[in-house]
Amino acid sequence: MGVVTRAQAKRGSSHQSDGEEQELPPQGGGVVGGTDLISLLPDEILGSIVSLLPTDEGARTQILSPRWRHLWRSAPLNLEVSRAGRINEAVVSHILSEHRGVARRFSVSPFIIANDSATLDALLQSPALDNLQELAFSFYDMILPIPLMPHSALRFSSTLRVAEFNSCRFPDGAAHQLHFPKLQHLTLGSVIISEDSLHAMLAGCPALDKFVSRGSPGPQVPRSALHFPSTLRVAKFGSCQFPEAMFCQVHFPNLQQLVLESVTISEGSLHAMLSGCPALNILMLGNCSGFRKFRINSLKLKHVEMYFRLLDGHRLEELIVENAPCLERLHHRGPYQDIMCISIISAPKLEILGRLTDNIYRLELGSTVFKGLHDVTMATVMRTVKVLTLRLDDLIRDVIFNFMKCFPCMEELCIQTHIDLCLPHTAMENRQRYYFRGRFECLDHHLKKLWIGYYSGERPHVAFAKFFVLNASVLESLVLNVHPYKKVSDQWIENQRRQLQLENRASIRAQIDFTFEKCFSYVNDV
Amino acid sequence: MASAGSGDEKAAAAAMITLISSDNEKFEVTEATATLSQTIRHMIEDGCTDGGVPLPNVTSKILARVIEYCKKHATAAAGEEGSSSSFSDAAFLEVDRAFLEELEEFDDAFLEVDRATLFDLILAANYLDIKGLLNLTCQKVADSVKGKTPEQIREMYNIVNDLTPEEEAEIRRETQWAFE
Repeated sequence: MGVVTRAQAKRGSSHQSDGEEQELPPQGGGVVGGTDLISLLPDEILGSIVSLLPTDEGARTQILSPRWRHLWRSAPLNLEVSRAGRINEAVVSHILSEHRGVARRFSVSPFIIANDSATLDALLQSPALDNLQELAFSFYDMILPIPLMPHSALRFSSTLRVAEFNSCRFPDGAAHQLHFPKLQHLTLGSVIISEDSLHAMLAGCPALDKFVSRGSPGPQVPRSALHFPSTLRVAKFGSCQFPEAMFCQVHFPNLQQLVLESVTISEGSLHAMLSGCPALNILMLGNCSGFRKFRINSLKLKHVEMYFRLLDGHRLEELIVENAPCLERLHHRGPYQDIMCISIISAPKLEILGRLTDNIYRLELGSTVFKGLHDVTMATVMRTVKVLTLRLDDLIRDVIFNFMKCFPCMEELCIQTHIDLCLPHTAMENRQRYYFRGRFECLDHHLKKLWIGYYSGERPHVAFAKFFVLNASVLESLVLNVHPYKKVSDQWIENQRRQLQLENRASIRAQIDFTFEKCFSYVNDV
Repeated sequence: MASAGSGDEKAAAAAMITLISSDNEKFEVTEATATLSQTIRHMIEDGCTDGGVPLPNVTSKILARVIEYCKKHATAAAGEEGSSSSFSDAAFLEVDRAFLEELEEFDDAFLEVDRATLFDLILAANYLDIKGLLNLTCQKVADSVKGKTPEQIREMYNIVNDLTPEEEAEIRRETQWAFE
């Protein structure tokens, strides 16, 4: 803490009261630099600070000093109980009965309300919650009977800005009279709600900015869920099935971010969705199924991320980027065994591309065609691409040479190979089908980072890595990630460093590191 | 943008407002920057900004910082009507990640000040009614005490505990759940 002059201390107090002239005692202490400045802030501000703390920590500020003792009760209420612990239902009732400040946030988990609608109702009736701004509650998931959401939850409709309802039945016929003029953020997690109610509710949210729906209990997303107010910018759907025939009905003029997670959606619906969102910026498809072909045509889309899992049928087989003038990041991660075809016709701003695998039988980048990763007709080069992620069975230089020609300005290359713990030398030697003649622009000027996942330390891997050590002139970082199961000694690392001829590295700045992590997630962090 | 009180035909293009600190220093800022402050916005609406806006509660040192903040955030606010900062789920709502990241970096650097300055910024933000700045600075204080025991907080902020043992026992009894 810096030295504080008395003038500063005085100024700090100047809004508090009329007592500006009065010199404030330094509350005991009296040491220079030891003035209690924080307690000079007005009640209102200290209250805001207290309400930004977790509930129990906020309550503990009462014991700091007499100045703080009464702040917590009159500060904006921030009552959030997410875990089982010392706060039980009786404590929550007590806090509510004693509270005198405005109601900012009330969030309770099944640990407080069990699966009892009446318990929640009693708490929500508390006058302390009048004009509540943020409400979140959750009953136990999957336990029958599913509790009814109490009517009292709807008494805050005119003041709520954030609402999150989980694992309950929405009362029938209630939403019709409701209007949520300030609601910006609505989450319905496993909520049973009639088509009419949902429609009425969404129609009554003129300011809605973000809508999250998880696990709609019916087999399909109700069609009404797709009639959002036009203000909506973020929508997230999880664990549900999109209606088959929703073509042409969807129009979200301002939607910027769409996340579908574990959603079954047909090819037609997916394409209808994309064309119905002209402002879409970010699209994430996680574990979605029901379509084999995805054609991207979008004028604003910048980031596309997709991942798939083996157990879903109807996975993506053909990805076509037809026209995406703003697309910067295209990340596809399916099971690497998937036989796929990827075609990028027009993505003039593409910077990050991944993950390409051995099993892509055809990769078209403009007029450059890879029939498999070894057989390439090079015509188009993509100078925008800076980051490339690959998953290759074997580390083969030819393949990388082709990519370096196709993406001459590549700065970061991440290659994950397969886990080969016990089969030395069965992997193909670095077949020198392509003899390294001349130079690559990429190696001379751009490649700064190389990451190799499941580096084995066997001869083919050493030769592969050594090539970059000796030829990448501007390399800054080479990370060789060894599988954690492969227990290696310091001596092993020493030996590797010697074999890689680090003393002859082309880039003096290059840092070479060995890491030992499971690399399932790395591609996500690029 | 009918800048009140100014008959200048160019006013609409770049209306400038003069702010005067408590130590009589003058700062000239654009209307877009100044109106991040609701207090000043109301003064402009009431047409009482001719000859400058005196801010007797804010020193030049603090006002300069506040203006720095407003300049940076005025561009951000241009696209966003109203405030959405109270629950913005930044990780999710990455409308323009690069821009938000830059703004966040700016905010982090902006908050690198000693405590006395931080409190002065809070008071200025409160007086000028700049919601974003008030949230940001209060959050900084809240973060600084988060996870700390009362004793650690007292030490950190030189808070002298002159509660009597009886008072302290009473608080512990009343809110037992928070102290166990």
